[in-house]
Amino acid sequence: MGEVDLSVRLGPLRLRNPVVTASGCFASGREMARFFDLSTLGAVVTKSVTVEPCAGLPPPRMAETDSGMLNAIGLQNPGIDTWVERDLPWLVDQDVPVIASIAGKTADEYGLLAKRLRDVPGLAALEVNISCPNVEDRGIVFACRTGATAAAISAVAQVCDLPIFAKLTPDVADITEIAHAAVDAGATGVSLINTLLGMAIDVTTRRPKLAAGTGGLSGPAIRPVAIRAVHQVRHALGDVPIIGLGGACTCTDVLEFIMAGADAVAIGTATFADPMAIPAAVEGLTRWLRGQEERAIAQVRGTADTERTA
Amino acid sequence: MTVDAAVSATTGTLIATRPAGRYHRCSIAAPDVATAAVPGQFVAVEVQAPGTLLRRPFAIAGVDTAAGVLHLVVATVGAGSAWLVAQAVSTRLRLTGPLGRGFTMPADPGRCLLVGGGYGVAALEWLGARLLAAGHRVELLSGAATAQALYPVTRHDTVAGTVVETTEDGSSGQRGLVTDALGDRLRDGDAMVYACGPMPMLAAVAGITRRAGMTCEVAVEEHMGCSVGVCMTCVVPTVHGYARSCIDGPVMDASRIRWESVDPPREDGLRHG
Ligand SMILES: Cc1cc2nc3c(=O)[nH]c(=O)nc-3n(C[C@H](O)[C@H](O)[C@H](O)COP(=O)(O)OP(=O)(O)OC[C@H]3O[C@@H](n4cnc5c(N)ncnc54)[C@H](O)[C@@H]3O)c2cc1C
Ligand SMILES: Cc1cc2nc3c(=O)[nH]c(=O)nc-3n(C[C@H](O)[C@H](O)[C@H](O)COP(=O)(O)O)c2cc1C
Ligand code: FES
Repeated sequence: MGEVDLSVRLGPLRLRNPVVTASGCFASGREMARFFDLSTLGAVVTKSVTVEPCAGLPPPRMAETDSGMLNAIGLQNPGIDTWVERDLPWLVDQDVPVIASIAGKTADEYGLLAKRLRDVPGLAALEVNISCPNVEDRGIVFACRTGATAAAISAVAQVCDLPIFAKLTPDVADITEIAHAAVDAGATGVSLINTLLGMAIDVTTRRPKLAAGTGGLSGPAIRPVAIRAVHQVRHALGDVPIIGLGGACTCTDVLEFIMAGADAVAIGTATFADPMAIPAAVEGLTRWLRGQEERAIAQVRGTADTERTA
Repeated sequence: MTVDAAVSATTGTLIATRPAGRYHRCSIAAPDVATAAVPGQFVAVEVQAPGTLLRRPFAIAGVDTAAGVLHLVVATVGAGSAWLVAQAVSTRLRLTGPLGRGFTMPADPGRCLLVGGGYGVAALEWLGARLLAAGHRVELLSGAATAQALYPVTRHDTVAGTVVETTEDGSSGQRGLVTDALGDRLRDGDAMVYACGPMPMLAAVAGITRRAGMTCEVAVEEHMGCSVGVCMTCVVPTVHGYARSCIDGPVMDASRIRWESVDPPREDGLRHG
């Protein structure tokens, strides 16, 4: 039995394995390093950071739902300057590629954030969160419109040479159209999917369970939606690099994303249910691959039978 | 940033579950957690009730260090807590802990007032025993809505010099709120105050101690997502903005919290237990 190869290419990046963290579900890595060595990971995708410090929304910010959860954090973060000075240096010193997530309120803000990060040593890529539905003064979500998607992504691409991943919302009629717009505007690849906008009501108090009213749905409940999005974009956009995410918990779930066409898979909410979810999934991949004909996980990408899809 | 390296993600074994008033006291063999824990810290326990996803946070109500056992006092309020108290002895329980910041021990020997509501008294019982052992004078005030909801403090002499019980309906101990009992006892001098219980009770204790110019630590309870500091769910409004109660708390200096912004706003002692 020969050794198996978990490494994957993600556009110009080479990751030691396909399992990465989901933005907003791993902070900037330090808290989780209490539980396992971050070099176990394919990459760390950090919490979205904004130009100014952001207080976030009032609590309650979370409600558990059947096999999932709603969150309305409101992008609480210290702002780009403090984050770059206080949190990022520790992370880039760890033996793991770092993908920094940025979120703006205007296309210009995305440009500003990219400018601030382009010369930071040790960053592997940017993830451009153009789909957070939780910010109170959000207006319309960028990733719901092809024009706004292109504006935000080109603002980043014009000032920054790092690989760019556009993080898209599934709350659109045709996600392939948005993915096309992002790639045409300069995105290296796409991250699919962000949370779905949802709501839950406490029937005793007759009030929404979240203070903000609505919030983003994540966890196992959304996995079929995410698998569908990855599959659609893989077929519509050929070889574009894809980070798949949404409800992945176990090695089996990671394989489902890879077979649907993802190059890398992010695990988010599952980390809340088990801090060891990511290392367990990576170990599971090694064991699984030993029982297959393929020697490399990269060969498994997109191998789901697509003949039967309508 | 407070990042305590003593925490572990581990698997414990349930060794006993016994009724304690209307609560259950679950004892779990988990030596890594039990030996590192201090009063005020908590564990996050995986529950396998159908449809549930997240670990459930429970305050550590005591440890038996030699045996590597920790105790939880659990109120049955929903699917997760019901699952936990229904488990048979020997069940393996996956849990994370000890989590968060515990109570601060006073530097010099003095008087300590411990104010608890409902199952919140359980963690204070453990704190009280430690304070007594360190030479402090300890008075434990335990309140609840009814006699049934009082946490049964068993070994009075080893956890506190004085134990005062209050119920809102007068079915046991003094009639009224535990915060009324606190107000009465503040008159005779300076003390360090520790509180653990529902948020409205904590808000009331914070108000009373602020007016009396006393130092007060509270163990807050907010809804938690990850319990380990990465999701920003469990925040409490403080003078420095929203702080994560799972890692910057759950024990916080009461004067740091902006009680008027705790949702819904709670100015005075309302219902609890
Ligand atoms: C730091 C901390 C320490 C805690 N210590 C204890 C303890 O020692 N003993 C104990 O019995 N419980 C404790 N709790 C509360 C306990 O975590 C919840 O009761 C439990 O998670 C409920 O799970 P469930 O599945 O049974 O109910 P669910 O169906 O999840 O909820 C039932 C009801 O409880 C409310 N609830 C859920 N989680 C919380 C929470 N974190 N805070 C306040 N209300 C909540 C829900 O809004 C709902 O109304 C603590 C909570 C925290 C944050
Ligand atoms: C508490 C929480 C905070 C999140 N914060 C962000 C964020 O800051 N930026 C972002 O792009 N996505 C954020 N997300 C979305 C996740 O990155 C991910 O897209 C989504 O949760 C689906 O994956 P999962 O089911 O594995 O969690 C957040 C999700 C959760 C649950
Ligand atoms: S519960 Fe996730 S940060 Fe506190």
